Amino acid sequence: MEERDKLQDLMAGYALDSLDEAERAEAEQLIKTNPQARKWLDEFQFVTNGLALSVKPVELPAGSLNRLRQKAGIASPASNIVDFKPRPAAATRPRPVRSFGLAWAAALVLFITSAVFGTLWVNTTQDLTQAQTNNRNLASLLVSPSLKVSDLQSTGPVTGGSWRVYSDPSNPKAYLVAQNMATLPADKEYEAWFITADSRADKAGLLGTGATVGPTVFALNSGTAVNQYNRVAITIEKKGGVDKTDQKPILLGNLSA
Amino acid sequence: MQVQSNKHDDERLLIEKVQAGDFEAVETLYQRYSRQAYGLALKILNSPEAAEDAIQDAFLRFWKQPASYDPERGKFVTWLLSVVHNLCIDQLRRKRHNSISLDQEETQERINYLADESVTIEEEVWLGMQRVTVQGALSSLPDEQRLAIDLAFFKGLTHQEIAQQTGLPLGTVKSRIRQGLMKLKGVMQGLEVEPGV
Repeated sequence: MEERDKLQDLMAGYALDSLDEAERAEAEQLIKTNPQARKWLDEFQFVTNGLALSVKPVELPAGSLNRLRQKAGIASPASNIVDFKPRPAAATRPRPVRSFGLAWAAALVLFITSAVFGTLWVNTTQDLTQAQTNNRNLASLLVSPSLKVSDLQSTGPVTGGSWRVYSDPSNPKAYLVAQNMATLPADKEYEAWFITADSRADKAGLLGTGATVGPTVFALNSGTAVNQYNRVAITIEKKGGVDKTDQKPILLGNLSA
Repeated sequence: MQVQSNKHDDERLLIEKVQAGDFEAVETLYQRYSRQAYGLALKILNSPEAAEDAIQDAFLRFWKQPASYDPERGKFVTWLLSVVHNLCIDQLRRKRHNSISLDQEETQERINYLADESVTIEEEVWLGMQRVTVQGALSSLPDEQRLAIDLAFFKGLTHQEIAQQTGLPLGTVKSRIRQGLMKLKGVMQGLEVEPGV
């Protein structure tokens, strides 16, 4: 075995904490004295940090924050932060809890689906590749110095969920992060529109029926630079969308915010 | 840029508050990151009670010794997860049962949903991006490399124990782990995963 492979084995094992005592002692000595060992360790720890992040978050049992306070010797709540909500049974979930209730119902369906088919579920309208692409593009946009953030506001009866658009005037695409969208009937679909100063609405993308759990990233694109538009709107259309809308927007946001 | 800056500023402020003895800041961090930490602990320990104890131990250690986290060395969540991982593996090694199977962990998976508005969209998106990206990187590995890494990282087995459990030569186990981590590093760096930044 090459010396380099042996060094990498030791550092990989150290990063994973999978060495026996003798190897660990050898690794620790090398980390102190060998810059190459330190470099490999940093690189392997970069990976193991990523492995820890690869696990799905899980809802904690009810009362968890209170138990933490008790362990810390904090007698009463130190703040008005609401403790974690219990995971209610679907049948007893109070109404109206429009977004969480629907999200929970969607989660249950999706859990069963994924358990049966063993597939990684992303959402009903985006495959994994598209979701990854949107996430990566949004990540790039988030560090843009000319990033603009717009929270969409409901225009009428409560719509539910959180809707936020990230855009950069120099980028032809904007990205919508939606969470807890109300689920539409199967024959309906959310559609996004870019609105010009003279109120012309250009198609910006279909957003599915809202059966999502957690935040979902959608790309919005009309084919024209985002700086040609003043606002973004969301309507509910028939499944598959329409070329021109005559629906009143359910959500509106100002792109120049 | 503003969003990222605000997020980091907010987190730095929370850390400073903890250092100043403000337990409310611990609570805010707990609200923000405990689900991610709990998911990791549950995957390793396979016990809701033990997993909750482990993450609470990690937060209480931070509460008692806030200087143990150095913001210059990376994100708080990355540090927190490494502490939780170490606590869980230590516990697992103390109470090792040979009956744990890879299948059992799948039954522990539960769908997460956002019921807590103190979790920011940006933070959730960031964590979600890391998760999807690393899962994608893991899925690109040959099964034997992924299994070896899984047994080491999530089951707390040493090289020697993996060799015994799988019947493979020790050198093969080491090379599979090394090669797997090298591939993951290449994929994750290519996809701009930033677990430590």
